[in-house]
Amino acid sequence: MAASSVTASDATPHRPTRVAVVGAGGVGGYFAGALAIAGHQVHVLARGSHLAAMRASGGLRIAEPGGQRRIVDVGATDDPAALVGAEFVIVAVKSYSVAAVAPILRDLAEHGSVIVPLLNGVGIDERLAALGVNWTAIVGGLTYISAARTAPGVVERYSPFQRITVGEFTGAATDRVQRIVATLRDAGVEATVTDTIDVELWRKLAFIAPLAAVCGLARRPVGAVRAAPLGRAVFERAVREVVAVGRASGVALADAIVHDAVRAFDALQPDVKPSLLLDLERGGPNELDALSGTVSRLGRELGVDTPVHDTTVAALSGP
Amino acid sequence: MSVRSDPAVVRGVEPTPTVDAVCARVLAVLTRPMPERGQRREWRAVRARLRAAVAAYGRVLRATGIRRQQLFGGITAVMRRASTRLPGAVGAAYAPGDVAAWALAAYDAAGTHAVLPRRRRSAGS
Repeated sequence: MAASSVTASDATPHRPTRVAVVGAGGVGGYFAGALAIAGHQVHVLARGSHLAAMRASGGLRIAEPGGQRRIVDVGATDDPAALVGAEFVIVAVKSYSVAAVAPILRDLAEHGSVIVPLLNGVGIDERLAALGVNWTAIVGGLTYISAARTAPGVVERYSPFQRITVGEFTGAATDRVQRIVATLRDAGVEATVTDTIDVELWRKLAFIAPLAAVCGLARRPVGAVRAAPLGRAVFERAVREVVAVGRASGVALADAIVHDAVRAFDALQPDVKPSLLLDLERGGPNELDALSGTVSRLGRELGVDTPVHDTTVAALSGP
Repeated sequence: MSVRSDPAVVRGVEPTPTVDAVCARVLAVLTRPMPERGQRREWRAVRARLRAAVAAYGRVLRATGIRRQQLFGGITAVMRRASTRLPGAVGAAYAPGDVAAWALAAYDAAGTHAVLPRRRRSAGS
């Protein structure tokens, strides 16, 4: 964690917290399950076969990396009204679905819920605000976890870690972020408050956007990219582009971010495929726009060259 | 001569941009560096681009069911955030209330167009 991070109060919540989760895929489903197991009052917005499967089997089936499996009642519903009154709302949809859930988040924010987006990319708070979600209700958030919905009603966590970082965009360690983190810790999540959420969001982007770019361009997993001539060098260039754009955007990013990202890239298992590559292989929507697309677009607006991300967008955009 | 089959071209109207596209456009314009003072033509161009982007935003957002106050809150928050983060950018050069007024004018106009009664044909025509 960054040196600038501050520690949340160790105090656990005195009462079960009402939590809503919008986006019941791997990330949202997993954290919903963890909170429900800890006794918090959870409602998960879901639909279609996923909702039907949860209703049929009495909850969400959650698989842990150690092989443990359980069925957890996560209060699955397709009625947004059931989410009203949540103390905070975890938003775990893919970035291309934000506009679709914005009307629901607008209502929840107006009813006093704090909105905690855990999406990939930067600028999600501005996007939500532009979509009419009360900006003062939004706190910054990000997660490090590898989890997926493997079948209707089933989510599986692959990574040994499952971290969430939250923070006010003002940097203040407010009661509300302290309470969110305390609730998440109560559920066994490695949760942290940061006073530099913008930096943390860019730090994450500086890893996942280059990873998605090089694996997406190569259509191969990490190990194959690392073994390819210049594969590692292209990854590092892509990281430097993100850092340059972030700095031009007014975010103070340390040089160490480049080193940290390359080290993390080297430490990945060879068979790891970023979600962008999995989405490309499956067809259908993907998060290219939130990753290289954002870097490329902001680079153009701010006069920063981003050739690796431009190439990625040019090569991977479209049908 | 070939005839293009795009329905929007056939009807003579522009395709409706998506909600994501109009939001991204506003955020992009706000992020751009403001031209130097004295470059009047560039200043006018920036103002025109911003106004067009914000008007499209107000018009398209109306269709999502957003309320007027929510739209106002949204655009002013985005303006304030942009000006805090990028003091030299377009977002910092305009008063949030002025830009919000452009968005609200487009929002109101879109509502007016939506409720205009269709003109009845007279029986004899």
